[in-house]
Amino acid sequence: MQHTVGISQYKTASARGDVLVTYSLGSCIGLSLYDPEAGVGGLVHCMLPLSKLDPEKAKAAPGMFVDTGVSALLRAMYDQGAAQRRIVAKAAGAASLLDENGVFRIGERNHTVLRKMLWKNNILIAAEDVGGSGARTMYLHIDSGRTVVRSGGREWDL
Amino acid sequence: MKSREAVLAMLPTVPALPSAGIQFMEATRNPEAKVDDLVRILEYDPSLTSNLLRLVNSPLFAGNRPIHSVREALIRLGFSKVLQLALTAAFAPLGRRPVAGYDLPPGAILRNAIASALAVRELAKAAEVDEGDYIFTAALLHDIGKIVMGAFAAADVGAVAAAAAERNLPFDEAEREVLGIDHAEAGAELLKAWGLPGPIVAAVRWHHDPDRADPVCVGNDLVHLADQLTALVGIGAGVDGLQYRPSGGALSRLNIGPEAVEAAACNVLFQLEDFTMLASGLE
Repeated sequence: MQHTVGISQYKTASARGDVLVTYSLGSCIGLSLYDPEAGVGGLVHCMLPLSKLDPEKAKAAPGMFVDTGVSALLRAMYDQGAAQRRIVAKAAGAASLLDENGVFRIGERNHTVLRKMLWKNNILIAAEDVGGSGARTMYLHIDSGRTVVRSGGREWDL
Repeated sequence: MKSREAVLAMLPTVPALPSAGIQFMEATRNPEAKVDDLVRILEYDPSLTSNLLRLVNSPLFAGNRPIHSVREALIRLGFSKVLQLALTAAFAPLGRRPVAGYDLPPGAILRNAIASALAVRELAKAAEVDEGDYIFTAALLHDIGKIVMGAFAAADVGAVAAAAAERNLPFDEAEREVLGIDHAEAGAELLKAWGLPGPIVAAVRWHHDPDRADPVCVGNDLVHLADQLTALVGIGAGVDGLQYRPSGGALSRLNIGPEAVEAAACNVLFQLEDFTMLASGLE
């Protein structure tokens, strides 16, 4: 079954036929986590880097920010039986406008905070597809752990 | 230039917004407007009225006490809010169309329109600018040109996307190069043909390049930033994605920083889900 992860949401899944999908990542960042041994996967779609922008909203929707979103997804993964040392992390998104003056650096900042958060949790990013100006859709297949990115009519594995 | 002519030739085939919506907008601009006249205009169109009542009765607007009639809506919510909701209801049938060339599934344009309209409200608040109804309307309709080009004129948007990707051009620039017209101009021409007020037409016309508007005005800047906000967040993003250039002057003219746009994005997202679910139920 396909489960959609909306902007600022995170979900985990462990049924073999499950697919987690998040649509149109712009400067937002999508992070997929997968533990092959436990057969558990999770996906979060974070909009902005840091929850200090609006702590109240971060409480209501932790997935909105990268710092709170990554922590919430990790907790949910551990609750499902995943172990930190086995987790495979992949990221997509963090696109930017054609912004030579660097007015909106949301994508870049989302990516930086994501790396920091994972580093703090001793998790390396196994693969990523970030930057550019295209919107991306990201799928995580629970049976195989495949993370697939779709953008501009093309699809590829991460 | 053949494509430009082909796009403009399709304008009369686009089903116009319900005339009651446009008449209502005109009537609310008249400071002498009476409630009875406004009620009559809307109630003349039963499907618009039923859609409007569905919207006003959302928890976002009505609170706990249901609103049973257009008159009650006008009295409890005020002309301005009812106008905004009536136009949203009026745009819903057109905005729900899929737009194949731009890779926009059914509902994507409407979702983007609503998010942009909510965003101008938030941005106007941040900039401490008086949020005129026309800014809301312009934000709601700003991408209507994509519907014209993609759904009615069947323009070769694939060739535009290829040109934009190959040379990293802004998407609107690639549209002008390949098709001789961009979706901002196509939308503005449509709204002009429908007789919408000049400031709305201008804000739609310049939503990718408010620095070039003559005169430059904060309304155009707000609509531009709302469009950028929805592109950044990825609300209703199509094949064009984030392939646009932000204006150099909009933020400084409004005297706000990029963090105001980020805070607005949070607020919009919280309101959007309720509103979109509601709008998807409209007839």
